[in-house]
Amino acid sequence: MAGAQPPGLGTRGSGVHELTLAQSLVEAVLRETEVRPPAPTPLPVGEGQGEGPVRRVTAVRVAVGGLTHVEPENLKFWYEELTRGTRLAGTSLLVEKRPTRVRCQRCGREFAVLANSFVCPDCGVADVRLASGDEVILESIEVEE
Amino acid sequence: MKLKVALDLDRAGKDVAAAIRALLARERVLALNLIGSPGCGKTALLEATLPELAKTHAVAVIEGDIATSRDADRIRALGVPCHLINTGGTCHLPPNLIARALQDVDLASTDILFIENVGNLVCPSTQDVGEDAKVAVLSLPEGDDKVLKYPRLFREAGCLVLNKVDLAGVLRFRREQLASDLAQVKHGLPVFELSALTGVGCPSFLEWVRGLYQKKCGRPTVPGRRRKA
Repeated sequence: MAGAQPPGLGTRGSGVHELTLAQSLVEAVLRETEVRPPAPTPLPVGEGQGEGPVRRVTAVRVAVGGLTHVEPENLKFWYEELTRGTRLAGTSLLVEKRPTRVRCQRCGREFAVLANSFVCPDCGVADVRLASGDEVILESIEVEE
Repeated sequence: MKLKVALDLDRAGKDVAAAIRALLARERVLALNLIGSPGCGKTALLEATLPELAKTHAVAVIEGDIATSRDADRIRALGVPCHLINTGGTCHLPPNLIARALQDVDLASTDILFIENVGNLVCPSTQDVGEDAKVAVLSLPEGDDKVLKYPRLFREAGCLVLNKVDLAGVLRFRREQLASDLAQVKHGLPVFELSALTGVGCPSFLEWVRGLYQKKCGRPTVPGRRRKA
Protein backbone atom coordinates (compact mmCIF):
# COMPACT_ATOMS: atom_id res chain seq x y z
CA MET A 1 0.00 0.00 0.00
CA ALA A 2 2.72 2.38 -1.06
CA GLY A 3 2.34 5.92 0.21
CA ALA A 4 -1.17 5.28 1.45
CA GLN A 5 -2.21 6.03 4.99
CA PRO A 6 -4.36 3.28 6.46
CA PRO A 7 -7.75 4.49 7.69
CA GLY A 8 -8.24 4.56 11.43
CA LEU A 9 -8.76 1.26 13.11
CA GLY A 10 -11.47 0.82 15.67
CA THR A 11 -11.65 -2.02 18.12
CA ARG A 12 -15.42 -2.29 17.89
CA GLY A 13 -17.77 -3.52 15.26
CA SER A 14 -18.09 -7.12 16.28
CA GLY A 15 -20.22 -9.20 18.56
CA VAL A 16 -23.88 -8.76 19.32
CA HIS A 17 -25.07 -5.65 17.46
CA GLU A 18 -27.13 -4.10 20.25
CA LEU A 19 -24.36 -4.84 22.76
CA THR A 20 -21.84 -2.93 20.66
CA LEU A 21 -24.29 -0.10 20.25
CA ALA A 22 -25.11 -0.04 23.98
CA GLN A 23 -21.37 0.24 24.74
CA SER A 24 -21.10 3.30 22.50
CA LEU A 25 -24.24 4.72 24.07
CA VAL A 26 -23.07 4.29 27.66
CA GLU A 27 -19.69 5.82 26.88
CA ALA A 28 -21.35 8.78 25.17
CA VAL A 29 -23.78 9.39 28.04
CA LEU A 30 -20.98 9.26 30.61
CA ARG A 31 -18.89 11.63 28.54
CA GLU A 32 -21.72 14.09 27.89
CA THR A 33 -22.68 14.33 31.55
CA GLU A 34 -19.26 15.08 32.96
CA VAL A 35 -18.98 18.61 34.27
CA ARG A 36 -15.61 20.02 33.43
CA PRO A 37 -14.15 23.20 32.05
CA PRO A 38 -14.02 23.19 28.27
CA ALA A 39 -10.90 21.20 27.36
CA PRO A 40 -8.95 21.71 24.12
CA THR A 41 -9.00 17.98 23.41
CA PRO A 42 -11.57 15.44 24.61
CA LEU A 43 -10.42 12.87 27.13
CA PRO A 44 -9.99 9.33 25.84
CA VAL A 45 -13.13 7.25 26.23
CA GLY A 46 -13.52 5.86 29.73
CA GLU A 47 -11.15 8.33 31.31
CA GLY A 48 -12.52 10.75 33.84
CA GLN A 49 -15.28 8.32 34.74
CA GLY A 50 -15.97 8.47 38.45
CA GLU A 51 -13.69 11.45 38.90
CA GLY A 52 -14.79 15.04 39.06
CA PRO A 53 -18.31 16.36 39.17
CA VAL A 54 -21.01 14.82 37.00
CA ARG A 55 -24.64 15.58 36.27
CA ARG A 56 -27.17 13.16 37.69
CA VAL A 57 -28.89 11.41 34.79
CA THR A 58 -32.54 10.40 34.95
CA ALA A 59 -33.32 9.38 31.36
CA VAL A 60 -31.67 8.90 27.99
CA ARG A 61 -33.45 9.34 24.66
CA VAL A 62 -32.33 7.47 21.56
CA ALA A 63 -33.85 7.50 18.06
CA VAL A 64 -33.41 4.38 15.91
CA GLY A 65 -33.79 4.59 12.14
CA GLY A 66 -35.99 2.06 10.38
CA LEU A 67 -33.18 0.62 8.27
CA THR A 68 -30.81 -0.15 11.10
CA HIS A 69 -32.07 -3.60 12.20
CA VAL A 70 -31.70 -2.43 15.82
CA GLU A 71 -34.27 -4.01 18.10
CA PRO A 72 -35.28 -1.50 20.84
CA GLU A 73 -35.97 -4.10 23.55
CA ASN A 74 -32.61 -5.72 22.96
CA LEU A 75 -30.88 -2.35 23.16
CA LYS A 76 -32.63 -1.61 26.46
CA PHE A 77 -31.59 -5.01 27.81
CA TRP A 78 -27.90 -4.36 27.12
CA TYR A 79 -28.12 -0.78 28.38
CA GLU A 80 -29.47 -2.06 31.68
CA GLU A 81 -26.76 -4.73 31.86
CA LEU A 82 -23.93 -2.33 31.10
CA THR A 83 -25.07 0.40 33.47
CA ARG A 84 -25.56 -1.93 36.44
CA GLY A 85 -23.30 -0.78 39.25
CA THR A 86 -22.41 2.48 37.46
CA ARG A 87 -23.76 5.96 38.09
CA LEU A 88 -26.21 5.35 35.23
CA ALA A 89 -27.82 2.39 36.99
CA GLY A 90 -31.59 2.72 37.11
CA THR A 91 -31.80 5.45 34.47
CA SER A 92 -34.46 4.94 31.82
CA LEU A 93 -33.59 4.43 28.21
CA LEU A 94 -36.33 5.67 25.90
CA VAL A 95 -36.01 4.32 22.37
CA GLU A 96 -38.04 5.82 19.55
CA LYS A 97 -38.16 3.84 16.31
CA ARG A 98 -38.33 6.21 13.35
CA PRO A 99 -39.50 5.23 9.88
CA THR A 100 -37.06 5.23 7.02
CA ARG A 101 -37.50 8.32 4.85
CA VAL A 102 -36.53 8.47 1.21
CA ARG A 103 -36.60 11.05 -1.57
CA CYS A 104 -37.90 10.22 -5.04
CA GLN A 105 -35.21 10.85 -7.65
CA ARG A 106 -37.86 11.65 -10.26
CA CYS A 107 -40.22 14.10 -8.57
CA GLY A 108 -38.30 15.02 -5.42
CA ARG A 109 -41.09 13.99 -3.04
CA GLU A 110 -39.90 12.84 0.37
CA PHE A 111 -41.93 10.06 1.96
CA ALA A 112 -41.80 7.46 4.74
CA VAL A 113 -41.23 3.84 3.76
CA LEU A 114 -44.17 1.69 4.82
CA ALA A 115 -44.27 -2.10 4.57
CA ASN A 116 -40.90 -2.08 2.83
CA SER A 117 -42.22 -0.44 -0.28
CA PHE A 118 -39.90 2.20 -1.70
CA VAL A 119 -42.38 3.06 -4.45
CA CYS A 120 -43.10 6.79 -4.73
CA PRO A 121 -46.83 7.49 -4.12
CA ASP A 122 -46.77 10.05 -6.94
CA CYS A 123 -44.57 8.40 -9.58
CA GLY A 124 -45.34 4.73 -8.84
CA VAL A 125 -41.64 3.86 -9.23
CA ALA A 126 -39.06 2.85 -6.62
CA ASP A 127 -36.23 5.16 -7.65
CA VAL A 128 -35.21 6.80 -4.40
CA ARG A 129 -32.34 8.08 -2.35
CA LEU A 130 -32.19 7.56 1.38
CA ALA A 131 -33.04 10.70 3.37
CA SER A 132 -32.85 9.19 6.85
CA GLY A 133 -33.20 5.84 8.57
CA ASP A 134 -29.67 4.50 8.77
CA GLU A 135 -28.80 6.18 12.05
CA VAL A 136 -28.95 5.51 15.74
CA ILE A 137 -28.93 8.91 17.40
CA LEU A 138 -28.36 9.79 21.02
CA GLU A 139 -30.91 12.61 20.99
CA SER A 140 -30.84 13.95 24.52
CA ILE A 141 -30.16 13.22 28.16
CA GLU A 142 -32.46 14.22 31.01
CA VAL A 143 -30.44 15.41 34.00
CA GLU A 144 -31.32 16.85 37.38
CA GLU A 145 -30.89 20.61 37.72
CA MET B 1 -33.37 19.56 32.45
CA LYS B 2 -32.68 18.29 28.98
CA LEU B 3 -29.21 18.15 27.46
CA LYS B 4 -29.44 18.11 23.66
CA VAL B 5 -26.80 15.79 22.20
CA ALA B 6 -27.78 14.63 18.67
CA LEU B 7 -24.85 12.22 18.32
CA ASP B 8 -24.77 9.44 15.70
CA LEU B 9 -23.63 6.41 17.71
CA ASP B 10 -22.12 4.78 14.62
CA ARG B 11 -20.13 7.88 13.67
CA ALA B 12 -16.86 5.97 14.16
CA GLY B 13 -17.85 3.22 11.73
CA LYS B 14 -19.07 5.71 9.14
CA ASP B 15 -15.83 7.67 9.44
CA VAL B 16 -13.76 4.52 8.83
CA ALA B 17 -15.88 3.70 5.76
CA ALA B 18 -15.34 7.22 4.42
CA ALA B 19 -11.58 6.92 4.99
CA ILE B 20 -11.52 3.59 3.11
CA ARG B 21 -13.48 5.15 0.23
CA ALA B 22 -10.99 8.02 0.01
CA LEU B 23 -8.04 5.61 0.11
CA LEU B 24 -9.49 3.45 -2.68
CA ALA B 25 -10.15 6.55 -4.78
CA ARG B 26 -6.55 7.74 -4.34
CA GLU B 27 -5.24 4.29 -5.22
CA ARG B 28 -7.65 3.95 -8.16
CA VAL B 29 -9.15 0.70 -6.96
CA LEU B 30 -12.74 -0.41 -7.59
CA ALA B 31 -14.12 -2.34 -4.61
CA LEU B 32 -17.14 -4.64 -4.86
CA ASN B 33 -18.74 -6.14 -1.77
CA LEU B 34 -20.31 -9.57 -2.46
CA ILE B 35 -23.23 -10.36 -0.16
CA GLY B 36 -25.46 -13.44 -0.12
CA SER B 37 -26.52 -16.48 1.86
CA PRO B 38 -24.15 -19.32 2.73
CA GLY B 39 -24.03 -21.56 -0.32
CA CYS B 40 -25.46 -19.09 -2.82
CA GLY B 41 -22.24 -19.27 -4.82
CA LYS B 42 -20.24 -16.16 -3.95
CA THR B 43 -16.91 -17.98 -4.10
CA ALA B 44 -18.04 -19.95 -7.14
CA LEU B 45 -18.90 -16.67 -8.88
CA LEU B 46 -15.36 -15.45 -8.23
CA GLU B 47 -13.92 -18.74 -9.48
CA ALA B 48 -16.02 -18.50 -12.62
CA THR B 49 -15.13 -14.89 -13.41
CA LEU B 50 -11.73 -13.90 -11.92
CA PRO B 51 -9.55 -15.84 -14.41
CA GLU B 52 -11.26 -14.00 -17.28
CA LEU B 53 -11.24 -10.63 -15.51
CA ALA B 54 -7.56 -11.05 -14.63
CA LYS B 55 -6.74 -10.92 -18.35
CA THR B 56 -7.62 -7.24 -18.39
CA HIS B 57 -7.49 -6.07 -14.77
CA ALA B 58 -5.31 -6.77 -11.73
CA VAL B 59 -7.66 -8.39 -9.22
CA ALA B 60 -7.45 -9.13 -5.51
CA VAL B 61 -9.86 -10.55 -2.94
CA ILE B 62 -10.60 -10.07 0.73
CA GLU B 63 -12.36 -13.20 2.01
CA GLY B 64 -14.55 -12.99 5.08
CA ASP B 65 -15.43 -16.21 6.85
CA ILE B 66 -16.34 -17.12 10.38
CA ALA B 67 -13.98 -20.08 10.28
CA THR B 68 -11.63 -21.98 7.96
CA SER B 69 -9.57 -20.88 4.98
CA ARG B 70 -11.62 -22.96 2.55
CA ASP B 71 -12.86 -20.06 0.43
CA ALA B 72 -9.50 -18.28 0.55
CA ASP B 73 -7.76 -21.47 -0.56
CA ARG B 74 -10.06 -21.67 -3.59
CA ILE B 75 -9.24 -18.07 -4.55
CA ARG B 76 -5.49 -18.54 -4.06
CA ALA B 77 -5.66 -21.66 -6.23
CA LEU B 78 -6.62 -19.30 -9.07
CA GLY B 79 -3.38 -17.40 -8.54
CA VAL B 80 -5.30 -14.39 -7.24
CA PRO B 81 -3.96 -12.56 -4.14
CA CYS B 82 -6.35 -13.15 -1.27
CA HIS B 83 -6.41 -11.78 2.25
CA LEU B 84 -8.45 -13.89 4.67
CA ILE B 85 -10.40 -12.43 7.57
CA ASN B 86 -11.65 -15.07 10.01
CA THR B 87 -14.21 -13.22 12.08
CA GLY B 88 -14.45 -15.94 14.72
CA GLY B 89 -18.22 -15.67 14.85
CA THR B 90 -19.10 -12.18 13.75
CA CYS B 91 -21.75 -12.39 11.05
CA HIS B 92 -20.44 -9.61 8.81
CA LEU B 93 -17.30 -7.66 7.92
CA PRO B 94 -17.32 -4.29 9.71
CA PRO B 95 -15.39 -1.38 8.19
CA ASN B 96 -12.64 -1.49 10.81
CA LEU B 97 -11.74 -5.07 9.85
CA ILE B 98 -11.65 -4.08 6.18
CA ALA B 99 -9.39 -1.13 7.03
CA ARG B 100 -7.01 -3.48 8.81
CA ALA B 101 -7.07 -5.99 5.95
CA LEU B 102 -6.28 -3.25 3.44
CA GLN B 103 -2.91 -2.76 5.12
CA ASP B 104 -2.01 -6.19 3.72
CA VAL B 105 -3.43 -5.66 0.24
CA ASP B 106 -1.07 -4.31 -2.41
CA LEU B 107 -3.44 -1.62 -3.61
CA ALA B 108 -0.85 -0.12 -5.92
CA SER B 109 -0.96 -3.37 -7.90
CA THR B 110 -4.73 -3.82 -7.73
CA ASP B 111 -7.43 -2.55 -10.08
CA ILE B 112 -10.46 -4.39 -8.76
CA LEU B 113 -10.88 -5.64 -5.21
CA PHE B 114 -13.63 -8.10 -4.37
CA ILE B 115 -14.73 -8.33 -0.76
CA GLU B 116 -16.53 -11.60 -0.21
CA ASN B 117 -18.59 -11.01 2.90
CA VAL B 118 -19.61 -13.59 5.47
CA GLY B 119 -22.54 -15.65 4.15
CA ASN B 120 -25.56 -13.75 5.47
CA LEU B 121 -28.41 -11.82 3.85
CA VAL B 122 -28.96 -9.54 6.81
CA CYS B 123 -26.08 -7.93 8.71
CA PRO B 124 -23.57 -7.30 5.89
CA SER B 125 -26.21 -5.21 4.13
CA THR B 126 -26.18 -2.70 7.00
CA GLN B 127 -22.43 -2.14 6.85
CA ASP B 128 -20.84 0.45 4.61
CA VAL B 129 -17.25 -0.75 4.24
CA GLY B 130 -16.26 1.94 1.74
CA GLU B 131 -17.07 -0.21 -1.28
CA ASP B 132 -18.15 1.23 -4.64
CA ALA B 133 -21.06 -1.19 -4.92
CA LYS B 134 -22.62 -4.06 -3.11
CA VAL B 135 -23.28 -7.11 -5.28
CA ALA B 136 -26.26 -9.10 -4.04
CA VAL B 137 -25.94 -12.79 -4.85
CA LEU B 138 -29.10 -14.89 -4.74
CA SER B 139 -29.43 -18.45 -6.00
CA LEU B 140 -32.51 -20.14 -7.36
CA PRO B 141 -32.77 -22.82 -4.61
CA GLU B 142 -33.17 -20.08 -1.99
CA GLY B 143 -36.58 -19.20 -3.41
CA ASP B 144 -38.21 -16.34 -5.28
CA ASP B 145 -39.51 -14.57 -2.16
CA LYS B 146 -36.26 -13.25 -0.72
CA VAL B 147 -36.27 -9.67 -1.99
CA LEU B 148 -39.10 -8.46 0.22
CA LYS B 149 -38.01 -10.66 3.13
CA TYR B 150 -34.54 -9.09 3.15
CA PRO B 151 -35.23 -5.74 1.50
CA ARG B 152 -32.26 -3.82 2.73
CA LEU B 153 -29.67 -5.81 0.78
CA PHE B 154 -31.54 -5.51 -2.50
CA ARG B 155 -32.18 -1.81 -1.97
CA GLU B 156 -28.51 -1.16 -1.26
CA ALA B 157 -27.16 -3.37 -4.04
CA GLY B 158 -25.67 -2.07 -7.28
CA CYS B 159 -26.67 -5.27 -9.06
CA LEU B 160 -28.21 -8.64 -8.39
CA VAL B 161 -26.53 -11.86 -9.49
CA LEU B 162 -29.11 -14.62 -9.80
CA ASN B 163 -26.99 -17.76 -9.63
CA LYS B 164 -27.64 -21.44 -10.36
CA VAL B 165 -29.96 -20.82 -13.31
CA ASP B 166 -28.84 -24.27 -14.54
CA LEU B 167 -31.20 -25.67 -11.87
CA ALA B 168 -34.25 -23.83 -13.17
CA GLY B 169 -35.71 -27.01 -14.65
CA VAL B 170 -35.96 -28.78 -11.31
CA LEU B 171 -37.06 -25.82 -9.18
CA ARG B 172 -40.18 -23.70 -9.08
CA PHE B 173 -38.63 -20.27 -9.06
CA ARG B 174 -41.05 -17.61 -10.31
CA ARG B 175 -39.05 -14.89 -12.00
CA GLU B 176 -42.16 -12.69 -12.14
CA GLN B 177 -42.32 -12.78 -8.33
CA LEU B 178 -38.70 -11.68 -8.14
CA ALA B 179 -39.31 -8.91 -10.67
CA SER B 180 -42.40 -7.55 -8.93
CA ASP B 181 -40.63 -7.57 -5.54
CA LEU B 182 -37.62 -5.78 -7.02
CA ALA B 183 -39.95 -3.14 -8.47
CA GLN B 184 -41.08 -2.32 -4.93
CA VAL B 185 -37.55 -1.99 -3.62
CA LYS B 186 -35.31 -0.73 -6.39
CA HIS B 187 -36.32 0.25 -9.87
CA GLY B 188 -33.86 -0.61 -12.61
CA LEU B 189 -31.54 -2.82 -10.55
CA PRO B 190 -29.39 -4.74 -13.06
CA VAL B 191 -30.02 -8.49 -12.74
CA PHE B 192 -27.49 -10.99 -14.09
CA GLU B 193 -28.92 -14.48 -14.46
CA LEU B 194 -26.00 -16.84 -14.57
CA SER B 195 -24.57 -20.15 -13.55
CA ALA B 196 -21.17 -20.06 -11.91
CA LEU B 197 -21.05 -23.83 -12.55
CA THR B 198 -21.57 -23.79 -16.32
CA GLY B 199 -20.39 -20.23 -16.93
CA VAL B 200 -23.55 -19.22 -18.75
CA GLY B 201 -24.34 -15.54 -18.19
CA CYS B 202 -20.97 -14.70 -16.62
CA PRO B 203 -19.79 -12.42 -19.48
CA SER B 204 -22.65 -9.95 -18.86
CA PHE B 205 -21.71 -9.67 -15.20
CA LEU B 206 -18.07 -9.09 -16.15
CA GLU B 207 -19.10 -6.41 -18.61
CA TRP B 208 -20.90 -4.62 -15.78
CA VAL B 209 -17.82 -4.89 -13.52
CA ARG B 210 -15.50 -3.57 -16.23
CA GLY B 211 -17.91 -0.72 -16.93
CA LEU B 212 -17.87 0.32 -13.27
CA TYR B 213 -14.09 0.20 -13.25
CA GLN B 214 -13.82 2.35 -16.33
CA LYS B 215 -16.27 4.87 -14.96
CA LYS B 216 -14.30 5.22 -11.74
CA CYS B 217 -10.69 4.67 -12.77
CA GLY B 218 -10.33 4.79 -16.55
CA ARG B 219 -7.83 2.42 -18.12
CA PRO B 220 -6.74 -0.62 -16.11
CA THR B 221 -3.20 -1.55 -15.15
CA VAL B 222 -1.61 -3.78 -17.76
CA PRO B 223 -1.64 -7.21 -16.11
CA GLY B 224 1.81 -8.36 -15.17
CA ARG B 225 3.06 -4.86 -14.60
CA ARG B 226 3.72 -4.48 -10.91
CA ARG B 227 2.72 -0.89 -10.34
CA LYS B 228 0.17 1.44 -11.77
CA ALA B 229 1.28 4.39 -13.79
